[in-house]
Amino acid sequence: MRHPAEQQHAHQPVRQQEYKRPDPAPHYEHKPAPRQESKPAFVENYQLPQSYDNTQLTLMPRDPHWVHAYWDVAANTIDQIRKEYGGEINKSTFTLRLYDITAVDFNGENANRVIDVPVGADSKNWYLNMWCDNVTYCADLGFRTGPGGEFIPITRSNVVSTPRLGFSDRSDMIWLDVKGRRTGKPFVFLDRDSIAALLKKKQAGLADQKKVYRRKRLNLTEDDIRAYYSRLFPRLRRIMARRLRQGSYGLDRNRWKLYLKNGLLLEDLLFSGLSRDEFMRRVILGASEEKSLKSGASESITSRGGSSEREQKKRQFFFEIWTELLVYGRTEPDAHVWHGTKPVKLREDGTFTLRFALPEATTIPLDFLAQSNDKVDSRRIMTAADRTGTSYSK
Amino acid sequence: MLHAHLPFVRHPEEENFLEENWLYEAITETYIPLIDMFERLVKDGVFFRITMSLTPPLVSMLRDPLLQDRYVRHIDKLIELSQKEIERTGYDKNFHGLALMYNRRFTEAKDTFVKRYGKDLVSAFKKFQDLGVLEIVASAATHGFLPNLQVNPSSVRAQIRIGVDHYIKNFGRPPQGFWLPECGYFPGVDKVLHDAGVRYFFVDSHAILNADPRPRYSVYAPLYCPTGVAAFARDWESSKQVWSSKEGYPGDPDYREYYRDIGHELEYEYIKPYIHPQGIRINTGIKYWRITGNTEYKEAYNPEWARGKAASHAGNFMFNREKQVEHLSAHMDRKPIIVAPYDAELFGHWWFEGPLWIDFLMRKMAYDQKTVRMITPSEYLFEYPRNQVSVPSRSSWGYKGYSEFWLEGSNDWVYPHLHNAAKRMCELSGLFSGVLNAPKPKDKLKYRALHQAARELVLAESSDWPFIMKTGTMVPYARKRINLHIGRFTKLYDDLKKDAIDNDWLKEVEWRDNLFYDMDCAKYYLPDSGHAKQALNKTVAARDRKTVKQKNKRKGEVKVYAS
Repeated sequence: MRHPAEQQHAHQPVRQQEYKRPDPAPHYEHKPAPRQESKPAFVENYQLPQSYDNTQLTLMPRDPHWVHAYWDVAANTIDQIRKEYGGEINKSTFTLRLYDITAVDFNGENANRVIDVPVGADSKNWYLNMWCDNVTYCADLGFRTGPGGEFIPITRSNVVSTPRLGFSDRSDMIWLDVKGRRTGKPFVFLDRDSIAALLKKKQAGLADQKKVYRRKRLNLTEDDIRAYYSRLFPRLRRIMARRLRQGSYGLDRNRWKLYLKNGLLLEDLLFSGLSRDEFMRRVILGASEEKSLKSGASESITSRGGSSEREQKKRQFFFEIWTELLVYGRTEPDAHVWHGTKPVKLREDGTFTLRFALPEATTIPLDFLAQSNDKVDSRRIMTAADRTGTSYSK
Repeated sequence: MLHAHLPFVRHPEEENFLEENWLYEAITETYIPLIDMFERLVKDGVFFRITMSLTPPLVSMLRDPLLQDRYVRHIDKLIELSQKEIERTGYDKNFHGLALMYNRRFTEAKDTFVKRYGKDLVSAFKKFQDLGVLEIVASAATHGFLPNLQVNPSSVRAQIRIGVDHYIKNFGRPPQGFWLPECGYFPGVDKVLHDAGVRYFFVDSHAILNADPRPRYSVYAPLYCPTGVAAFARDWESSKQVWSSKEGYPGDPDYREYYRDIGHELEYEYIKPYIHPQGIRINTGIKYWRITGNTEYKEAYNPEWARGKAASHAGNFMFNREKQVEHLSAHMDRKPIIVAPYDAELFGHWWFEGPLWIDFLMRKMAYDQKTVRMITPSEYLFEYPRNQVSVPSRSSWGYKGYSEFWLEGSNDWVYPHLHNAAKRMCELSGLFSGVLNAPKPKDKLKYRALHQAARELVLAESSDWPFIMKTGTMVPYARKRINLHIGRFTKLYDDLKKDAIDNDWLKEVEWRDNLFYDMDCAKYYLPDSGHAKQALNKTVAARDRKTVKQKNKRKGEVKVYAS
């Protein structure tokens, strides 16, 4: 698609500069060699494949309540399964099995919750509407033989987390100093007396309301932070979950470092707002369970193709006119012409064209003076163009 | 914070390419007015600080000799058209003055572009950064929307690393900050940023509000991610005042109407030399009407009224920030920071009076009040190196605040291709790591093919293509680009595996897609090597030395002011 720019404007030839390849600037040089004119046409016509013929399932979180899944099943995978399970496949439905694996080290069995979503046999992607935010998901693609029947998995997806909707329940403050390249150790501030109070409370079951503003800075070790953020990383989640399962933390203070000097649990300070049960539930089950327990779960709704909110298109009929005035004339090619006081440029053959916008209720005076080159003959033409006001009606 | 970005729309294969006009329009209407504004402010000694991001595709295009020369051709034509317009509107009392104004603007733009900065606007921005009034932050290689690329960690790493290295190449120092494309953040990005030597990035308000644990200072102080990289949140209030199409400033009736352009309105034969040679009517940049109201009825633009409005809007914005800061200070034991990020192209291109508004705002901030002071994020971090640690929530600044705009019915088809290509790129860099790691590449053809494959991949990953598909304008172009880059990548992949690289074809493709032509893009897909880390540590150390020096200098300045 080449467009030789041949258009010439009506009364003034457009400067048609041949585009020349510039000398490259010193700091930003072109590596590839300049193209030769005689090169054959470069034709590219790519067709993206419908399938790359490898079996995979990919999840992508879209927002707190939607997860997008797309998949591809290689032909030989289907054949294999057919060989293994035979005719059962024909009766079964294509299903996405979603595992809620928030805060678990997933091994295929221990999901917090399993959700089966039947998907169309020919579709290659699906938008899943989940009812909880801040959940970690993993999914299997497979066949399910009837409701409650056997699940024949084909492939497993990546692990994704949906974002939280709303404020976090944790309000504790960990601080960090970063100066230039040096990132310090994270630390918390503790009231000296509140430590004492907590100790007392532990001993006597009584709370001390006294507030003292002396603060103590307490550096956190990497393990503390890891434990704290364990929910973000599956590997650390595993460590955390094991610790909680075994219930052994606190026994070995050097190993886990969850203890402070005074024999207090770090969680008591960091998660002071939560009871032990709540804390355990939150870490083990994750926020999803909590939310569904609170609000009562509804059956998951799935839909294809996302939300299709199409606004009603506004009617956009329009009709406008504009007027312009074209004045053209001719004289001897070497003569001089003025319009009012302005000189008019003549073309080579002595013709000229002037063009004016003519808005409504305007008068354009046309006062021309021509003079021959030897200044002997001169002639004047006077007239005017007038446009009246405009009226509109439906 | 101004975020300047355009997709890579360089098309050397055609003389007049429609989409290249995006660049030319942005240069005339946004980048040059901004540079002129900085110049005026510096010349008048006004205290101001602005943070800006210039994405690698934009920087590359601004530094590309072919596009620079094409821009000169473009602005010459505009000057010619505006001269004709002066004559044509000679008896039109409404428009004659405007035609003169446009003529002056275009002539001045050419002057700035050609004479003052030798066609290289990046050097202009660099100059203001070196003067200390502007802080330029890096951005991802091709503006890839990182949350949707998360499936391939190598893609995210390459996008960020290429962006940072490109920045170092062009601005001569490592970046302090990073602009995540579309503010697309997911927990874990900070690790990659930290490894690339970045100190802070920007997120939308709800990323911080929903952070875990809850932020002590809401969005008015940065949070450190566990890696020690700071996240600054957008302030919703100041954003809305400018962004909102209904309540925002740009919708004022006195401002210039964007959608009425003489390129679409004037008589065909007259305008023909100034639109696309195929006869497609395009925006010329000469617009005579003001917004007037919400109907089709428009009145003539009046620059004086618009100027007055820009001044009063700047005053209003400043007043609101003063009140906001006064209110916040009462609740905080430190100085609050208000981050107001905008697309740079909003100023000038969409909102014609935008640069003027910034100009007024900077002057008013400097002279008319004492409550608020302009600051860059790195200056704030210097003042407050201690911040709360938390994990921001996955988010973006797009529609509804998450990934929906880039992942829905119209554009989800691109992701299987992108993810698959990214996987293949890793496979290639693994297969040919010998070729890539050799100190002097022996197999030059393979070496070039590998890097070109990586280039095609990052070009395809740009968030602009899904964005365009969703907005519904210019869709065929976006589809074509995805097709082209994935197609070229696949061909290179197949050729490399078959060891049958077509040299002529590769040459042509290198010439067409020359983004990052001087960078070894495929190396970013190699597993992390110690060498890269060492080099990075060196550059970062150099930066910090420089920063400390600058800060000390600046401290001295402040003392002078105080006395």
